[in-house]
Amino acid sequence: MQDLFRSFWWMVFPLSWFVFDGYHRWLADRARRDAVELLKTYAKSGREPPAELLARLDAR
Amino acid sequence: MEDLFRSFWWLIFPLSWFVFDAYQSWLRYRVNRDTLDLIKTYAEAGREPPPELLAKLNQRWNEGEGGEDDGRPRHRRRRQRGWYQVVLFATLCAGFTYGSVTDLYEAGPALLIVAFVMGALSLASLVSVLVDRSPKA
Repeated sequence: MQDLFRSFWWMVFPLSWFVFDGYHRWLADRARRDAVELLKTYAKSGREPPAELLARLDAR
Repeated sequence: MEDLFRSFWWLIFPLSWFVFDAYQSWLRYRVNRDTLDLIKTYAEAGREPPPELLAKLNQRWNEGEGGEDDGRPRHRRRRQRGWYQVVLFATLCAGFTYGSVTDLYEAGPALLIVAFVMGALSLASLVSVLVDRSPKA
């Protein structure tokens, strides 16, 4: 096992990057869902949502 | 195990950076969520949220500190961050190249791989800054 790690230790970097990027995308998805939930609240009350909130949906 | 740690102790630094940045992103996400919750409270009460609160939404949750409050336009901050990354990765590349050439810690080949990665990141950041077509401030 140690020998395997010594040969492929550099794979820690790309694999960490994949995990890190996946985590970021998951957080971005959650943030977008939260914004949509808030838009639903505005829609239910029949009011116009603020432009800043709508712009949030376009954010990456 | 101890021998493995002696050989790869320096991996603690880059891996800690990943963990630290992930934690920071989580904290920023929570601030964003709390802001939306507060706006929701205003919406449910049928009141207009204050403009300062809505201005918080202009700051992307994963964009880092500063937001719109530091007076610099977003595209300018992005360019400055791009140049910062170019210089940072280029300097790291130079350092690891030196370590590789001088066989520092008898880890020349390993340091060469890290130097390649840093050089690639620097070049990628440079291309990103150069092709950024946002208006110059």
